[in-house]
Amino acid sequence: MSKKILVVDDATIMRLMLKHLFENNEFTVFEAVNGKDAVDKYAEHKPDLVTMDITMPDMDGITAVKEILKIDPQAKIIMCSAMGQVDKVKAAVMAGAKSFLVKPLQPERVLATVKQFLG
Amino acid sequence: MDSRVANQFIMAAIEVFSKVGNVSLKKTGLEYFPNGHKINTGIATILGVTGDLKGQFIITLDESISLKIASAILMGVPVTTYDEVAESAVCEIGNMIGGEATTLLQKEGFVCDITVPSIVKGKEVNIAFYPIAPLFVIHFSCEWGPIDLILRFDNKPK
Repeated sequence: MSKKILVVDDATIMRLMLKHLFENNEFTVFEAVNGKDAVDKYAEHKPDLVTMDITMPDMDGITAVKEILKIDPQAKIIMCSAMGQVDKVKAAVMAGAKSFLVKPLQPERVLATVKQFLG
Repeated sequence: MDSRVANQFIMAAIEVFSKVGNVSLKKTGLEYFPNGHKINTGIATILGVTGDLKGQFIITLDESISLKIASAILMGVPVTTYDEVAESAVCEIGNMIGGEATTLLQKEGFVCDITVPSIVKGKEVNIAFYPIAPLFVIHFSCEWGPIDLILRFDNKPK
């Protein structure tokens, strides 16, 4: 059975890009449009990995990481954000994110990072 | 405006377009508008800057370039009409330039954040900012066509 990835981003283009990339590499993809939606979809689909934007309406990505880890302390979450400042990276890692990718995303780098955590 | 600030946005724009579309932005000119600026192009992506610097930056480009950006982000999938996907792509380009610029600005000692992007689409759009502050327009050319970067900051950097 293919591994499941939850793509969380408020930008349609980024969800499409990651969905396209992951589906072409035999992953099953679910989408969420903000942090709150991500928490709900995580509980519903129990994905093997999450890619998470930071700046989103309703609930930001850092808060969503903390909420998802309350549901599943073993959750594997990779941040994908345009905001690569040191304080943002620190906040994401402190919240429990496993890795941090700065946009623009390089498809090969995204896949390599995902495979690192999904084996 | 401090040239260090302008330079970080210029470097960010060049870096982001290179990474997204493998296109080379070349600076072709700089204009100064003390009291605002009428934008003559199709799409303007406007983002606010908060923190140690306060102001806005705007990226203006033709609709045809927005389609190329969307296609490049989608790794070559053709995008032929300006719709939610293309609009989302120009918003993301704004976010990426803002993210890269604020990362570079942090190295210069300015801690800043950016606001969510807004899109203005139309011909001969007149954008006014208050309080009135000078606008700097940096003109670029690239394989996709002309792109402008407009910078406007309220206060002098610390």
